Amino acid sequence: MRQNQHISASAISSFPSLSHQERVSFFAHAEECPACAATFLETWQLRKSPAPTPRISNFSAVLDRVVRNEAALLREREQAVELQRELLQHPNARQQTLVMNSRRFWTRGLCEALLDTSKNAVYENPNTAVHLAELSQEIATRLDPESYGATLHHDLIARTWLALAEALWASSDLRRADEALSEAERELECGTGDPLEMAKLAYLRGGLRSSQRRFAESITNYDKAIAIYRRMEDRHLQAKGLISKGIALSKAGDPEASIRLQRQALEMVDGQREPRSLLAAHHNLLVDLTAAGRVTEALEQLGRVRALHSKNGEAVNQLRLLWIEGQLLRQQGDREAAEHALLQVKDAFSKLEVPYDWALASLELATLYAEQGRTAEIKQLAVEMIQIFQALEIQRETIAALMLFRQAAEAETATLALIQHIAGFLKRAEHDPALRFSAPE
Amino acid sequence: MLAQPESRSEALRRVLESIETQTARIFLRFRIPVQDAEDILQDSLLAYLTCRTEIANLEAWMLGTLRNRCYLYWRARRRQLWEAVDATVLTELAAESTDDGQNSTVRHDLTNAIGRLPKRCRSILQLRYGLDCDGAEIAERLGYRPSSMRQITNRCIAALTIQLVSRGYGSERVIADETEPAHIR
Repeated sequence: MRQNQHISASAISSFPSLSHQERVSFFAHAEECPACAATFLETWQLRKSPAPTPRISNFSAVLDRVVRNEAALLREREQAVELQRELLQHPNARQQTLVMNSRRFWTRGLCEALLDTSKNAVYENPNTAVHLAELSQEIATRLDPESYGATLHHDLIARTWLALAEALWASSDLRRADEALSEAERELECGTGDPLEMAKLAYLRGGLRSSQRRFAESITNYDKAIAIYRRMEDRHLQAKGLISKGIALSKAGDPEASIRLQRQALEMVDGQREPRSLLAAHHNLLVDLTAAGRVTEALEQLGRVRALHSKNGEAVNQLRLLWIEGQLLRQQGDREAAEHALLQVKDAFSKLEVPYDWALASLELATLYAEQGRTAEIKQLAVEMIQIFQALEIQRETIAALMLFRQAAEAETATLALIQHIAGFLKRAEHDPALRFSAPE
Repeated sequence: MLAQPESRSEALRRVLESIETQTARIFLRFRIPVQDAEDILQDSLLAYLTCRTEIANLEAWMLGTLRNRCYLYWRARRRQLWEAVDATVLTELAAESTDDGQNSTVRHDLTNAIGRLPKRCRSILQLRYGLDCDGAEIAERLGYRPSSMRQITNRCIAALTIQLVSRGYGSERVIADETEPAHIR
């Protein structure tokens, strides 16, 4: 670069790619050359350009390229149905080997198909969802970034991380879910800027923070997701954000705030598009009304929720409904019926091998017994809980909490406050293996 | 005779026409060069084609995507620029001998340029370039949060770049954006 010659616009535009010596020469030149300094500052947007940017005139060329790409994408999607069927008929380990070694599985269409299948499996079988998301990721990272464009490639990889994060969260692996979300965020920064993917990231992070009981962060993330969905004019996704934010607020101890959000969500949710979300809003409203002690309203809501659950037919959800009914019966003073319902819930969770819910139902039953001074039944429950948790080799801290409960039960000093303290610990410990138990003061 | 179904390109053309004014305004506001603007538009249309079943309002989605992409475009470009300037300054200040007159002039200019920055910026760059401290060490010494250090350092490098280049450009004020040193507390 000679001092009496201007530096080309393309060299200025590609400044980061210049050699060290060229960069140094540029700085030396720019100091003496106001024109090149101005071009640099304008090119890098460090100073406002005096002339506006020319408008795109070549729409036809852009459209032609897009339509060509779409044709290829549609072909891949058609082929993906058969490829997925072929792949999934193998055992899991073999599926992994095939996608890592066989090029014919490396298509965007198959990657998208696996993402859809993973999403559908999240609630019913989170471990399968994790496996499918991992398969989709193996494929996404092997695709040629140039075939559809680098930014779209980053979007696709981000989607595989988001799917993996959701599946890991559903299977209670919060640490790996958190890592997957960070990876997704990094990919989205290099992606197309799709607001829906950014909203999904915030939405999932809201859920994860809620499970980690970091409620302030959870609410901030949900608010971010809801704001994007509002701008995208998607009322259904806004409703989903409100439902989840309500759950976080309820877990943080504010069921009244959640009641307002669930009712707002019910005005917006599209039951045709996603029946599960409609059910969730109604179910959560019932949970919150019960927690807030608004028994009359809860009983009105109970009928609606029961009807929706009977259509849905998931055994675990039916049990959760029965659990709420037990709580309502207790609040109404019908201890006998409440005990009957809670015993059913406890036994069913035991059969389904869902230890934390089983323990929480047992403690709720213990509360009922404590109110009636039935110490023998409390002792029996305490022994059962220790035996099952020891057999399942569940974290030592949880067993320590239950030991304290058993000691108190045997000494006939198990108070309502102690039972609630232990129940509160179990709710947190389910998602936080590192949580330490401390006895109440 | 049956009407021909609208071709895909015609449908997309209609979409583009309906948001043409807003699209142009976004590219203008973010001052995206034409060639890059075409790429961004193409990527956004392709992204739409890959996930269109999930989009409730195409216009809102398209404009939101373009806005985000333009923002990310500058963030990525500037990050490359700051990294290049940072590497250049580090190498230049580390070279103690064997140079021609030009390089020693640049080193002198560098020192002067750093000296003209606000005090907080100056402290950060002196620690980075003078004492070879990394982000964590600078954060600890100056009381910043380590997680914010990269962004703060980038703002200082931006201010330094402007100083280095705009000296010959005269005293006209250059724009701030994320590069404004006054943002450094």
